[in-house]
Amino acid sequence: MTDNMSGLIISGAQVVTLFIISVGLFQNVIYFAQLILSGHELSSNPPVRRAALLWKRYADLAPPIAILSPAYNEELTIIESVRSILSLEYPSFEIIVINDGSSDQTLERLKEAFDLVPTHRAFSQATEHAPIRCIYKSTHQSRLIVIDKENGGKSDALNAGINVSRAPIFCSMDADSILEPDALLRAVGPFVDDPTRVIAVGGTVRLANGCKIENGRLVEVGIPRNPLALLQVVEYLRAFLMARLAWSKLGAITIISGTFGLFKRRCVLAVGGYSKDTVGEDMELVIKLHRHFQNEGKPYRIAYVPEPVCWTEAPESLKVLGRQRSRWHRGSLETFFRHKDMFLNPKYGRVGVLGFGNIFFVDILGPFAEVLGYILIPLLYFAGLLSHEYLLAFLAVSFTFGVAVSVGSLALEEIELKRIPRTRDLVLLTLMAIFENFGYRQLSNVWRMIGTVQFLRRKKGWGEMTRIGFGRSPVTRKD
Amino acid sequence: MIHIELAVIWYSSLVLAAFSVTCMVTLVVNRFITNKRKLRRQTGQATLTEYLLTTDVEDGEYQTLKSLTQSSVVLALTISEISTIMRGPAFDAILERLKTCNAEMRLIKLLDRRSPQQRVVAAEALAYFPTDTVRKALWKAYARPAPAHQRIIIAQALVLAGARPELADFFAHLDLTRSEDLADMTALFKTIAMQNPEPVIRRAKIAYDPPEVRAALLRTLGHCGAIEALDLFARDAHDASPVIRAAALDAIGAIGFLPDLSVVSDALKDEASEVRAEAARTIGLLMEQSHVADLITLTSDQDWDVRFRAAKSLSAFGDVGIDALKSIAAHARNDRASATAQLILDEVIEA
Repeated sequence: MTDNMSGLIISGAQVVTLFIISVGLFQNVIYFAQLILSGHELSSNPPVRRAALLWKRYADLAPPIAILSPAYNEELTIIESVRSILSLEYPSFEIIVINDGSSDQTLERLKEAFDLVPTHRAFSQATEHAPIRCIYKSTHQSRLIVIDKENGGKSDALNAGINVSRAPIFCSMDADSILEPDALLRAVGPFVDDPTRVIAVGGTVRLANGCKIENGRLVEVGIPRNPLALLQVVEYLRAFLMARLAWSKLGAITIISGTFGLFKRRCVLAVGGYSKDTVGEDMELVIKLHRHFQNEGKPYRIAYVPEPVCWTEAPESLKVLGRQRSRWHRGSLETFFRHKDMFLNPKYGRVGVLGFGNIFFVDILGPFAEVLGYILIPLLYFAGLLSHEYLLAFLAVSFTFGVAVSVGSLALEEIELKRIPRTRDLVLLTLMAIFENFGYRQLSNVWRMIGTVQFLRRKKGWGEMTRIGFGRSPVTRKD
Repeated sequence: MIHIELAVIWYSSLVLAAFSVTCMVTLVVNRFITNKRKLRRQTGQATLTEYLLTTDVEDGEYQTLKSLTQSSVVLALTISEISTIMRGPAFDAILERLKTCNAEMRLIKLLDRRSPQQRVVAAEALAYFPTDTVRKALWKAYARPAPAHQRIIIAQALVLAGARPELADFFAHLDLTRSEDLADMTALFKTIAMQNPEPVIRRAKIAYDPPEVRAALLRTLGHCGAIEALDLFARDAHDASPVIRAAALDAIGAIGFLPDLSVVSDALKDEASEVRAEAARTIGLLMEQSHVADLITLTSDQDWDVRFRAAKSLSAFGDVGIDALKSIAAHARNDRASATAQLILDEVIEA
């Protein structure tokens, strides 16, 4: 009886451990497949190196673009950000800054810097948003429009911007981010090359911490001194260069970052614009577009281009980073469960099967299984219920495969893009790619678990975000 | 059995991690060497550019130039760089000086290298050496396997170096069904048409290529002001493909003249909205007042783009158009028409 009981306990421990290892292994198989796919894509379609060639290629064909930049309490970065957008190399674009009821001096700083005066601009109320107080235009920057509206959140501000914009394509970006001068020329490529099918294009977001920025332009690429920001550099590389490129290649991309993405205006209006009741509005919009086009049976393509780069500021404190990551995870869960009927539904093609499958296994089940493994497997091993092979296999799926994937994505960036100019920075990032698997990765999973708890408790809102500003001291804002 | 599989997971993870770290270390070493080489190249390019721009021809220049142009890549990059800041006799004089150190032959050799980037850089520089030897070398480089955008840069260099090919010569090595290459091809058509539109007109006339390519040919001709292609535009404005009809109208609008306006009148009633929109825009560009009534009708079209372009064209007719827009904005029964007219009026008032 006792032998039967202990046998049962050992079998139970082994089954649970095998489940955890299987989930981890499956996750790693997905990562390696992404790495191979994105490597193939980058080597077969290498980005054009010189902006002059892009200009030659697209200048006559490029459609007008409206750049929508929602700003909430962005007084520290707004002027540099707008200047950076004004200096973009693109034949036809307008900038629409949406002041979303800021309680700081965002609007005043804009008025002062760009000599804003009220203007009348007719627009149709194609999507819902909080009332607009006034629309301003600049007396010396004809491309700049500023909307001053009541606070309604980022999605609400973007919806107002979509309504007021007139260009067939809009670009959503954060007011605290900086676009590279040729970013629009690069990002518009898929719209020009495949005008009938492409409905949205995402670009790469990189971290501006440690870079030299003057007058809203990035003049020298560098890496952050803060170890937490340094770890995020590797993380962003993996997320954009590896994951998004691979999903885009498979036609199953489920997110275009809210920090930098281009969309066909009429397609976004057809799905009702951005949803206001979620913190993952960028992901939600992409899923809505997939759903709409799949339901209608229309051919479409959502693309990702690795080279247009948008530089943004990363949190440098654990507290702020934790809040950001929990919120991202909450947004992902909100979108997943709102569109749960698409999960593994062949009606929605690759997005339903691959895209939603990935969200489920990697974003939902993955962190849960991994955190459970960290707690349970060492305990079971030291209790003598598991042999050392189980422990080693768990270490493999949680640490060593992770090292291979992180270093692999950094190698991919070095082979194809070479955006990290100094050799010593490359050495430092290689070390970070190794060490991020020992502590940071585990912490990320804990933040995801917190995000899951917040989702289950139906928490809403964005929380506080500390902005340093490019080269300034930190301030805290509440989104 | 399961223990073996678990061990395989552990060892394979170790092998993969070690492999990726080794690759990365190799890349870091390679980067270190490349950075050194790049710095040397940049310094060389800056020195050569400065020497050519600031020093007049002097005795013993051959030796100086020979030492400064040891690297063919530096030579090619310097020519391209100087071409962006000067043209005409001063630039020709610099090329003559470079010819003394055998620049042409060295760039031709660079064109034969395996590196696609080096081939492109060489082709761009060779565009300024319009000799038979250069053209022959560029043709040879064009025929070699390469991604389309690199091939097209070589083709553009060929045209700039004085080659006068038929488009069929270029098309033989391009996949015309690849929509990704269309933007590059358009740049090539433009380079050819700016020199001489005849080959582009001849190709467009045979109407053999896929609709997107034909449309690109028509648009290029229109935007290069090829007035001799007006008959072709009039013919293609009745083509079966709406893509081609719209492109033909765009070309007519870009030229700004057409003897027989019935082509545009027919297009205003076309079944495809993109053709109606293009026709509405063309009317505005042609400044053809006899079609104001048609434009007023189009302001209540189902398609937003057609309405917008019709109203925008009306605004180009001065007082007649503005009065028409005001009337539509105030009295039109169709809400879409009045909203579009108001939108354009606001824009005009703002301007």
